Amino acid sequence: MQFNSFNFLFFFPIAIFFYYTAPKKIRWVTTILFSGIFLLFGGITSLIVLLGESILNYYAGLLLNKFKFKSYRRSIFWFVLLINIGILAYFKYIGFIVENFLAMLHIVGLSFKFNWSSVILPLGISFYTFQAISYLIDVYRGSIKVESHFGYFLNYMLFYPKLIAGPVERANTFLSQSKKVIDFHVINLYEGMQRILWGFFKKLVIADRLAIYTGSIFEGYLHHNGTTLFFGSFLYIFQLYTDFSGYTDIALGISKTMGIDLMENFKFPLYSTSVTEFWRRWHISLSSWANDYIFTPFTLQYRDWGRIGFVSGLFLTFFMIGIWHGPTWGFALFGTAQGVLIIFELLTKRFRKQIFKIIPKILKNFFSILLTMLFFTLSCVFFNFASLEQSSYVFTKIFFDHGTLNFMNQSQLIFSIFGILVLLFTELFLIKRDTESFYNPKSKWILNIFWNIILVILILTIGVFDGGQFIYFAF
Amino acid sequence: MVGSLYILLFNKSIMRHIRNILIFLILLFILDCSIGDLLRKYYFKMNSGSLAKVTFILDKMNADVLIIGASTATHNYVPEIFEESLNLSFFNAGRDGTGLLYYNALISVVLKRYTPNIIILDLSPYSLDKSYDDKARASILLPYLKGFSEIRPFVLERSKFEKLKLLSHIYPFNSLAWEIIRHQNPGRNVASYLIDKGYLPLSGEITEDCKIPVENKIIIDKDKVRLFHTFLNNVKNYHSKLIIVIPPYIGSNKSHSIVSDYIENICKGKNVMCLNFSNEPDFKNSPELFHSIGHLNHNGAVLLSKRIVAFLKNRF
Repeated sequence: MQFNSFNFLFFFPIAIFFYYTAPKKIRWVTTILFSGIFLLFGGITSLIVLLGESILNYYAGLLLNKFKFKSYRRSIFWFVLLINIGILAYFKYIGFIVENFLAMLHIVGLSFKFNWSSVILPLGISFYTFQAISYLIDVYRGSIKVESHFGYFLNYMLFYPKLIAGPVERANTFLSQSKKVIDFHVINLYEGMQRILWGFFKKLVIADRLAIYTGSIFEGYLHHNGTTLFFGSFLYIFQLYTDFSGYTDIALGISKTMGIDLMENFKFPLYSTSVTEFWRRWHISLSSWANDYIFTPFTLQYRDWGRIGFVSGLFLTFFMIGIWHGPTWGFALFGTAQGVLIIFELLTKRFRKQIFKIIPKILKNFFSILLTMLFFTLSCVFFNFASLEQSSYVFTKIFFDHGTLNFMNQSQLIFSIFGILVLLFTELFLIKRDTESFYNPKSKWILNIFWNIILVILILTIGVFDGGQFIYFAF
Repeated sequence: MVGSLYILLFNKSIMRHIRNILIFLILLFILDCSIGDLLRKYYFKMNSGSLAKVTFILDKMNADVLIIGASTATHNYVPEIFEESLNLSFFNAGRDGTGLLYYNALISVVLKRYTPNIIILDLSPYSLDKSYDDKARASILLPYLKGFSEIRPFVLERSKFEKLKLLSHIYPFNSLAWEIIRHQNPGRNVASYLIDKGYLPLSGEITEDCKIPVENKIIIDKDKVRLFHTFLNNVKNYHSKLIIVIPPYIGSNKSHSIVSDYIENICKGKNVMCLNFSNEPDFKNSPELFHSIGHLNHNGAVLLSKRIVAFLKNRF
């Protein structure tokens, strides 16, 4: 079930109603039930895989807590960790692994024919597997207490607002909230609904509108010049951002209505002045996960390598972030490109500081934001095109075949630009207020009402009602 | 006393929130109605563009020969050839990306208003394909719901929540604001569709890349077949001569031929004339007549129009 479907418009109020009318001590039961129903729309396989992983990691946590011998604990930990990774690898990467293995054999002169039928990817597997792994590692390290109540743990894994496209929630922050008896507060409902509305605006007015426009460019990419392809790629970052952050806003809004605060996944990344800053603001739950469970352990382990260890850690981390998105070399290159730029920024920090001293701050920020967006635009070519062949074709066009910009469908472009401007100004306003939430008890109630009405009217007037699913559902 | 004060405060808070919700709903309703009615007023004031063409077809058009279909209709039928040879007025009501849902709605309204002498439905086998999404394009019918009750059953087939969406006055004009603004031309004398009679010629010949198509299997959608039957039955109730034309196609797709035959069989069963040009050698062996795999260029359209006119003259 998608958030931007009418099925969900009926599902959500019913789920909230049962959540608050159920006896407080068994409220987690209603959440699990509705989460299960939510996931069933994606097929029974999705539900079975998630239940399987939940049972596995729940009992793993209990065993890690029970056994005190280091060697036992280490064995249990690595065994379960490998199963988690194995499940993800099977569903997501096996085709890619087999294909590349056969290609390597072919290079050395060995040819095999192997028919591999692709496996259907269970919904949300990339997100909840990473969640399960973070829980396992935290329990193993002793950073968090093991969760002994299976219901609460299942709720953590299955919680439907974050189930399909994150955020990759940490066990300690979620469990501590979900175990509390949360009373009904109108403020939570109000703040949550406002966040949901903003998410729908981003998705329906901007993301789905841009998808029509960029889709018409990328589907016929062979017939467009470099200028048009670059323009399409530039708009694609807004599409990607509003699609994913729109989903996140809806997810956070739904959780808020239940009195639960999920972690923020975006902090106005379009205003980042460097790639380093960008990854502190974009898909925060994934980048912080990668930092805590890949980068930090790696650099600690190899701290004797000095700078080489640090750089290698960055490469590895961003390579993994790229691969997490999908089993293609394009995604791997996307991730690696981020790592390369971050290393470049780190190594040239002092030099750039000297250069920027002579430039007024406002100009420096403006150009920094532009350069960051330019870099992300180009790296997203790998993100957008499935094959390396297609990506290299597009890059060649962008750099060597310019020509006049073909504006394509005027009305789609005008609506998209209007939506982007509303987004940018709204985010500037929120940055000034230093919050991701619109709700402000100090602001006049009539202003809040007007803002909500404007969003609804814009959705009705220029929103796309038969748009596609969220982009990150595919991961 | 403290208890009573608490209850009073608590109630005040609840009342405030209820007040806010009510104000929100009332203001939303007022704005929705006002903006929706404004969009409606200016929508029907448009005097150019493809949307105004649809209004013209539903409201005023009374041509003797009427072409209905998707892009193959719009680009494959030359008005002058029909008019000069048959001595009948002609209008091409083709619209890109539309399907049987739209054709049914259109013909329901047109036939209630007048009976065309000849109706030609240009039907590509892809119109019956499950993956061909004509429901989205049928949104063009939404602004006409108020004025033409005949189209309601077809509009509601778009989705099971259409009735809910239609509670909004703005919704029928979703995504049309820019087109509405763009086509307000008070000084314009004659709309282009009145001059070109709805025909939009394509130029250029098929490129090398398009000659070898990907083998797409057409999976017949039973709802679309049902709509096809509805169309045939509807026209049969009036006294128009109906001809189904399967347009020329230069690709090699086994599925395409199978579905073309399927359409022919349905027409045979209903005693409706069907002209199948999908494997016609005159077109199949002449790539210079095609703009793309399924669309003729102007030269191809001239040839097709002449062939159909010859058939009509012979038959009627």
